[in-house]
Formats: sequence, structure tokens, C-alpha cells
Amino acid sequence: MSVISVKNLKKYYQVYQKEPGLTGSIKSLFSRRYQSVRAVDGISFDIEPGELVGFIGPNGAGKTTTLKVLSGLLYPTSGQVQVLGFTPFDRKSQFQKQFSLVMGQKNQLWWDLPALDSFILNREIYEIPPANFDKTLKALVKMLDLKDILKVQVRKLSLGQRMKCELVAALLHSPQVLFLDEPTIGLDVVMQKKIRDFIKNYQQKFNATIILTSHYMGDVRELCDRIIVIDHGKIFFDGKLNTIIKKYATHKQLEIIFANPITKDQIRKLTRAKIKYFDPPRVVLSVKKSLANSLAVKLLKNFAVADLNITEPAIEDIIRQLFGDRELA
Amino acid sequence: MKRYLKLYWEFFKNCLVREMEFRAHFIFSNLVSLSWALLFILTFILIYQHVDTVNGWARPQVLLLLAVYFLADRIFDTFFEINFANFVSLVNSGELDLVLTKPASGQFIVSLRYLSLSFLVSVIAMLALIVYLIKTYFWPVSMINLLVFIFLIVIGITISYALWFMTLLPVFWWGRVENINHLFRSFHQLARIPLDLTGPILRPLLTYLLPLMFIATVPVKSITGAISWPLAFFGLFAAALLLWLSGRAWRFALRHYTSASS
Repeated sequence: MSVISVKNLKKYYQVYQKEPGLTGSIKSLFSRRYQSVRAVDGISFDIEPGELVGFIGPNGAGKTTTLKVLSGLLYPTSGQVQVLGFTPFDRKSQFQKQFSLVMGQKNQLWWDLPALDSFILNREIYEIPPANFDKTLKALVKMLDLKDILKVQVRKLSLGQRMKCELVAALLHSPQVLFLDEPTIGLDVVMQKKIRDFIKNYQQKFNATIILTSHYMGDVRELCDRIIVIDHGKIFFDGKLNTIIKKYATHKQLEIIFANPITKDQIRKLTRAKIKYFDPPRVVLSVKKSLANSLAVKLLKNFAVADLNITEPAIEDIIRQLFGDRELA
Repeated sequence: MKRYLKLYWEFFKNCLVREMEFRAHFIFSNLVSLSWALLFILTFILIYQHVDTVNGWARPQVLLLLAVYFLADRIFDTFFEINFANFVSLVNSGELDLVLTKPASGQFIVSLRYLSLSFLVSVIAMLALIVYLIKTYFWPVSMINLLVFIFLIVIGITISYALWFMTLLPVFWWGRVENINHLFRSFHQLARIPLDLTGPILRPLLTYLLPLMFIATVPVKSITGAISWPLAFFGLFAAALLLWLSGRAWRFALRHYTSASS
């Protein structure tokens, strides 16, 4: 049985539109034109136990709204949502004790107190037996290498340390289902990698079911087997990461290291492929999938080539192509 | 119940640690809140130098009324007001998200999460004043009257809480409504005059519909046994009903929670 089941979920918001300037403001005091914003517009999916699914899509696509509906924060406009057999909005405590929502931009830790105090508060809220609490905390502290900072006031921690502590706070009750909304936002590359490794580790160790949204394609590429691409509140793609590459990658990349000097004209004479990168001896061409092999042969015949690689385009490029350069989040 | 007491104990310890960090704030805010109460009481002492009684309310009764009112008010400020003041931003910033995912009553957490010690001195001062007034002007008081008196003060605080909490909920529809936490305060302040002085229309209204009468007027009258049992039980009923209603209203309002984009 699936852990998460969403059928035809819709969430519309009413927002009013204001004309710019003072006149617009005065008008808006008396009459307001409301507009319905379709944040999530009829999406359906099922997630099986132990899956790690990535939500991707541009800003405002409906990813966070979906996570908030799954967490029971937002009341859906219509549709059925089941998580662990519960209807999230009922906010039953048996349900809440089995999941966790981590938002990279919001913190639950108390600013003026050491993280440990917030952890103890969560122990009481989640009614975690002290023995389990100690065991889990010890394991998490070890996995995240946090030993020395638990007793430091949270406001004195770095962003990365704080994010680690946020993760601990969210995981103390050993949730089976985890919603991670931008868990690596604002972190440097090293810290991103650490958090990423931790998530992977946690998922394997506890067979947790995880949904992740991220700004960084690296997170998605490394962590998720399955991705759900959302745009304008609708599901655009749901499947394996490889499938989206195969399906939507119309071009392949040819990376050539030439042995002798070369000019752009020489390449253009031979092929109409797009030159993506030109810094001899290294040149990268973008070629239609069907022509990639024959072009490689041509290049090898006509030039002295030190090295040649045919690769799939980066997932970033495909997604960018799909969303026409709108910013991803 | 026991669980929530334990939870509150944790809130309490957290807040204590935090409040003790800001010593100047602690001293100054206590001074301000105490002077407010004392100045208001002084006004009435001045008035009563010219009159002996206003429709049955002599000086000792009025002073007791004020002391009870300010005690209830400062207890309210200590436990609830600091949370209510934070409520609008909690809803609008979407910080409520992390409260609502917790397996504990959201209403409990948003109402009692923080504790302010800025009114501690006033609470103690008012308690002392009440003890003094009762000993000097009303003693001997029967045990039962004394218990009813204390019980009715608790009823009054519960009623204020429930009504006040409900006035915050429009935030879920209207968004940024600064100072909505002060909306109820002006009504609440009505309770610092003897409300049975009001006319035949207002009096039943303030007893049964918007039972502000129970904040100070009814407890003070109970100390001399001047309160009928049905009225005391009605107070209990009203407090329970309003508390229940505030829970229902809270859950209904949450359906309109839009969170904030993150």
C-alpha cells in the first residue's frame, strides 16, 4: 500500500488585485477585484514506502503548497489526500508523530536558547520515551557531527550548523515520512553535500519515505530516483530521472579535445552542430541525438583528436529547456 | 492534562531562562505595569473622598474590585497577552506552520508558548492588596465564600481568554491586521467599574451574552455572599461554553490559513 496518495488535489487561493499607486489603493478600500490563483490544480500521485521523490519546478509552481497540504497545514480546495492512512488536515496526533516537515527558510529552534533545550521541548511535545530520545539524539549527533554545539545558543551558530540542528529537531521522533522543503538553501557547497549525504544515509537506515524540493539540481540528481515535475500547479512529468533525460533530451553533447590547433570555421564546415563551448583544445558541441554518432566518426576522420566523449546533457539544461529559462526552485 | 502541564513546565523553564537575560527590561516593565494599576486605583480613592457610596458600592468594595480586576488583567498579561501580541505575525509570516505540524493542541501552543515576567510584581502587589482589603474590611469571610471568590476569579480569566482569543481569529481572513490584539482590551477594561451599575439593557447583556461581569464585579460581590448559586454556576457554564467555542472557532479559522510562501 502506498504511503502517500494524492488524487486530483486542488488548492486555490483568493488574492485581490490592486492597481498601482495611491489612487489604486484608495479604490481598493472600497471595492476589490479578487482573483483565484490556482496554486495546485488537480494533481495526482502515489508514493510507496521507502521512496525518495524530488519535486521540481519553477518558483510558484505549487511544490511547497503541495507539501503543506500533505502536512495538514492547508485545507485543500478539493481532492483526496492520504498520508500513512490519515487525512492530513485532521491533524491527528498519531499522524503527526509519524512525519516531519523541514523548511529551509523557517526555523523551529529557539533563537535565544541552546539547541538542546529545543530538542527537549520536542521530546515532551512528541512524547518520546527518554531512553529512545537519548538513543536517537546520540545517533543523529554522530551522523551530523554536532557534539560540540548542542549547548551553544542557536543565534551564535552558523547557517549550516543551524540547519543540521533543525534536521535533528525534526527527526528526534523517528518519523517515517519526511517532507524536506529546500533543506540546503543558502548553504555552501561543502555543507550542501554533507546534508545531502545525511539525507541519503537516513533514508537507507530507516527506510523513510521522503519528498524533497530543492533549488539545487545537485540535490535532486544525487538523491532522487523519481522526480515529479510541477508547473502551474499541474504535474508535468512523473517518473525516473533517467526517463526525463531520455524523453526530453533531444540533443547530446560531444566533448572533443583536439590534438592540433583548430578554428570555429573548420568545425562549421564539417557540421551544423551548435558550438556550446570553444576554448581549444577543448570544444563542446550540442548535436541532435540521431546525428551524434555519425558526427563523431566524421570528426575522428578529419581531425587529430586526443579525446572524444558523448554525454547526455546535464539535467539542469533539460529542465531549463522545459521551463524556458524561468528560475527554478 | 498531565501531559500539558509537563509541556507547560518546559515552556516555563525556557521563558524563565530567556527573561533573566534581560534584567533592565524586567525591572522597567514591572515598574510601568505596576504604576498603571496604582494610578488608576488612586483615581478612585480621590473620587471616594467626595462620595461615600455609589449605588451600594462603598470604598472598600470598589478598591477590592479594582484589585481583582488588575490581578486578573496582569495574570492575563503574564500568560496570554505576550502570545496574543505575537499572533498576527505568527499567522502572516507562516511561522504557524511549524506549530501546526506538532502533535499537541495548536491552540494551546499559540496561547501559552511564551510567558512574560513583566507583570510579576503587579500580580504579587495585587494579591497582597486583595489580602489586605479582605482582612481589613471584609473579615470574617466564610470558607465557602472565599472559595467561590477564588473560583469566580478563575472563571473570569477563562472567559476573558476565550473571548479575547476569538477576536484574534479574523487575521486568517483579513491578513495583516496590526493591533487586533487590542480590539478586545477596550471591552475588557469595562470590567474595572462595577458593572451592576449599568442599566436594565446593558446589565443582562454583560452578564449573559458578553459575560464581562464575571471578571471582577461578580467575584467581589461573592465575598460577602451576595451572589446566587445559579449565577455562579452560570459563570462556570459560560466559561466552559466559551472555551469550547474558541476551540471550534480556531479549527474553523485554520481552514482559511494560507501560510506564507516560503
